[in-house]
Amino acid sequence: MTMNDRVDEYLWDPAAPPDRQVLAIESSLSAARFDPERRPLQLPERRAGSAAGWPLWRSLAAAAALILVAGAGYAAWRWSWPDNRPWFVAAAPAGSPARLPVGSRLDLSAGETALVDVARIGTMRVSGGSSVTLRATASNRHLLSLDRGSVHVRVWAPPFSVVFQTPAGEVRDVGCEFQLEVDGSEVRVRVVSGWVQLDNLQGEILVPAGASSEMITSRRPGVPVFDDAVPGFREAVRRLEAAPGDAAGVVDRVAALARPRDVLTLLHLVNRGVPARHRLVEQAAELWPPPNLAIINRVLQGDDRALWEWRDSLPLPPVKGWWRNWRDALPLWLLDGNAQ
Amino acid sequence: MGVPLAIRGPIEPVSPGAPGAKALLTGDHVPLVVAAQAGDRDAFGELYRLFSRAVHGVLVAHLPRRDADDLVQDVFLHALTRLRDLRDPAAFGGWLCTIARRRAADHYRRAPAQEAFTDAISSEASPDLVAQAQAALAAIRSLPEAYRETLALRLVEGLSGAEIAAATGLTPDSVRVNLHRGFRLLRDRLGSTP
Repeated sequence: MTMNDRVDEYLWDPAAPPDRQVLAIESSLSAARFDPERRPLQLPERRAGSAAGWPLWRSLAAAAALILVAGAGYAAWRWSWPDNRPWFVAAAPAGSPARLPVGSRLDLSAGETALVDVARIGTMRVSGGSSVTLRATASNRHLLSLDRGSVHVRVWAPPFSVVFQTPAGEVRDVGCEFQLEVDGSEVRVRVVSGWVQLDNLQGEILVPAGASSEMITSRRPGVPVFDDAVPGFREAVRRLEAAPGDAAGVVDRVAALARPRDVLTLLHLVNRGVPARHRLVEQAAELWPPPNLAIINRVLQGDDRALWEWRDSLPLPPVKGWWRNWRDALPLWLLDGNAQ
Repeated sequence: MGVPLAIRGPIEPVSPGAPGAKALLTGDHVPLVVAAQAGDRDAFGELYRLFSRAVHGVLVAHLPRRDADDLVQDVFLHALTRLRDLRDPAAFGGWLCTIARRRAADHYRRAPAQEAFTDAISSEASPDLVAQAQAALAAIRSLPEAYRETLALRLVEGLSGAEIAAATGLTPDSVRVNLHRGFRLLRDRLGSTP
């Protein structure tokens, strides 16, 4: 074996007979050798819910994807309902059936109440003395008629999933919670969340959360009035609606009592045939100016599009944002004193 | 080089290389990699014990010893965060050495001017030995890229040729050639003759 062979052999295999030159260099360099026992690995604390080597953002992304998929599946299940399948009665007076088949009527005596599941999309509490008939059921389309009494409805579903026929016209949910009352030929609606649409042969109107409206067959549905309006405002508005032509003093009273929030009511009144409507427009412009001043003149000239532009500038929840009222999907017992 | 290699009198035998380095040859580290990918920290700690000298050898071929010592931890922490990206557990060693090379390059780019390129060697060693070690390390780093790491792994960390091949992913023949040619160059630069 040559010297070079010996060097190569020892370089390849430290267990081979050592070569002095290699051994000399190796011996001096061994002082620089790394010792894992003297420098143990210091791993950071493991983050809760995150496996080693699995970055937090991946865990969050996976969780978000899982929630999205689960949410989509739940929504599809929640909003689907076989055609003409009965609703289920969650609570009712003794002797009442547990189901409410299509075509059947629920008549309650005074002092009785019933709680009915609105398919899978919500609940309906029926007050004493009410008469409600289930007309049709299907996915996202449930039709009822309320002949008398009142119901409190909470649904979280796309608009117009629940429609009530009443003696004065139709009442349609726009993803919401509302109280509907039928008293003879007059209908009253108080909206708790979302929007409700009132519709009869004279016209239609959208009522936002916090407002109420009334409807009779002979007139367009009443303009929405917020429930926290100052005393006298609602009465003046209803008087103006009933007799728009000969109530100049009432116009002044409506304008005087209006707050910025009531501009919605004022703008609805503008195209209700009120001769002194310029007074309403002036007051509305003072309380909540339109996006541009040209809108005022256009409104006075009867331009409905200008009226809509002005209404759209008001601080109201978007009609198409029904899904934001997700609280209406929660069970009542989770919410304190709501809809009870 | 200023400090020629002294070969006088008896030379102390050098202790074996990486503890458990034989596992590199048998592939026993593969189950550890799989377990570490599943979140087993003990398994990752065992991989550190097996591969830390290989990582250090790669680092010290490019950087001062103290920086190399510090960066070993960084390399393993980085590897821990990317471990799930490793598709072939058997390729762990080569993958780890690639991370070490990148970290060394990053470190060198960041502070090439401030670093006094000297090697702090254990104070327990004699001044002569320290000077020889510093000269040998400097000579190794002056070698062509292909030989640096192989010689550092062999002469600093004490790995065998087969272990170097297993740890770095090089073929045994490449390691053998690198050792042969690299050592001849190193010997010339250190001023020693056969």
